[in-house]
Amino acid sequence: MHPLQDVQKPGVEGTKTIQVRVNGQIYKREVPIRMLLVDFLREELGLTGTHVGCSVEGRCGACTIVLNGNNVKSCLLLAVQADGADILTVEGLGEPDNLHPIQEGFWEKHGLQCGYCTPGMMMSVYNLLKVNPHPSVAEIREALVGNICRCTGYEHIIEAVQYAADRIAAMPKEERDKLFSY
Amino acid sequence: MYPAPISEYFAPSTLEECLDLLDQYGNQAKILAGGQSLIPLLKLRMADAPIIIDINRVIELQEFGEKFLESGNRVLRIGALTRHKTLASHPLVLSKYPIISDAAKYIGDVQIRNRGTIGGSLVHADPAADLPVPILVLDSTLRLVSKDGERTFSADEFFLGLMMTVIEPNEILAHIDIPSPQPGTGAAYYKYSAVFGDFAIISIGARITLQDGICQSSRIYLGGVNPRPQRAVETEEFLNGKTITSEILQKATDVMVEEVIVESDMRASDTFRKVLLKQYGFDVLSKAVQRAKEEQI
Ligand SMILES: Cc1cc2nc3c(=O)[nH]c(=O)nc-3n(C[C@H](O)[C@H](O)[C@H](O)COP(=O)(O)OP(=O)(O)OC[C@H]3O[C@@H](n4cnc5c(N)ncnc54)[C@H](O)[C@@H]3O)c2cc1C
Ligand code: FES
Ligand code: FES
Repeated sequence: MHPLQDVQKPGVEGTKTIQVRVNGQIYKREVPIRMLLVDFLREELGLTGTHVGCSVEGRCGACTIVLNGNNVKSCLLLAVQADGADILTVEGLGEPDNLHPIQEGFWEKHGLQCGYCTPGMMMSVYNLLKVNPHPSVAEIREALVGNICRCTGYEHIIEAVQYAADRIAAMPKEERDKLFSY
Repeated sequence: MYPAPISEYFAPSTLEECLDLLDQYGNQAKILAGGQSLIPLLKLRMADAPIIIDINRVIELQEFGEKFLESGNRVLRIGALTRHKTLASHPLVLSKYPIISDAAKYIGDVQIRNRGTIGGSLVHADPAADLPVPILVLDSTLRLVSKDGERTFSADEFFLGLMMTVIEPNEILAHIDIPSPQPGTGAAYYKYSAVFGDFAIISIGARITLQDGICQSSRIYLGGVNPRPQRAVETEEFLNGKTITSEILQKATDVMVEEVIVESDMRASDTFRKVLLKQYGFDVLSKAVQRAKEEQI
């Protein structure tokens, strides 16, 4: 069957009630089935740290979040798919006066200019450092293929990740585990 | 950008429920697996799905591992919901079936591989997708199930053309079985893309069985060049029965470049594609030969 030949008449707008845990807080909302997860986070929950850069094809990575322990693009998921899920967005990473080492790395190493890509970038870095505490430059680059930056040229982002990795490596184990509880 | 309105969303946890729903809603319903192709198509209104059946919770579609069939033959069974991430990094794949990780590890990016599934990729049948080629090269079989029963196809029968397969609207692809190779078999895959993690401009997959340095059998498919992966039959025939040397592999590459019919599109001209095939064909054949010595496909 050819997907492009199979265009149906659109359905009637259906809704569904979902319950999601985002950054440790539980939310219950009724949402249109066609609502994208990124729009749910931004429009329904007001968590506008998660950005939308490309809107259709899912290429830019600005909307990256951590869903049940994996970094994914929230513009390629329906909100209803996240029913029962545990989500981390940039708002849950650290506090302004208590930055996560990843945020500290971007701050210290000037890992951003306009900042549009940064929240998604940090979610992918989170997933990388969770499983690979000492990534090589090549591994950092591979982990960030799905996050496009139009400003920095990536060099400072790589330094930011290395800074964060070093900071985290110097911490006692319990503290490290707390940083990566998602 | 939003998909068109969707009336109903189901997330069943058993295959039986899925099949009932498909039976009930027919082609009003669309299966949602990783969503990495379907969601963009819905946003573009190139596909519409009044009813969505999310199969991510169905355990029966998540089988993964070697098993013995009733016939006594051993296969690697890959459930349709197996994610690209698993195929890229599973120890069993890396040690015995590296052609699959060759293909899976450069699909899109980390986020795409965390969600995308082999079933979705094969059913979507993008001509430039990575997984169809190794699945064809390994002579795999695909099992389709519906309320009416089951159908089994060889990979070669499954793909019909540009984004077209034999699957009917009421069917689900349940799993893929990869037969155990003959002793002395090796396989490899390579794709060339414009940027890291993009769709293939060309891709090449090859499997070669050697005995005392002589090629007993071979299978070669090319991706990205045509509406569906193309088999290089003349190249296979050229290789079969020959004592494999680097010179023979070089000549086989020339036969391949000669026989393949390539098309031009917005991403590359036919000439450029031929240059790439000439450049990388030899490497893939050599890698398959090298792996044959280590019994890795
Ligand atoms: C930015 C980006 C880059 C990409 N790069 C690449 C790349 O380099 N190489 C590559 O190969 N792919 C690439 N892809 C595509 C990706 O591999 C998709 O994951 C894959 O094509 C579809 O798998 P899915 O599980 O996401 O399927 P979905 O999008 O959920 O479904 C795709 C189609 O298959 C149907 N379907 C899904 N599962 C089943 C089943 N079990 N039975 C019956 N029908 C089913 C759906 O109804 C739908 O029509 C890319 C995608 C994106 C967004
Ligand atoms: S908005 Fe660009 S990948 Fe999601
Ligand atoms: S800092 Fe501007 S896009 Fe990355």
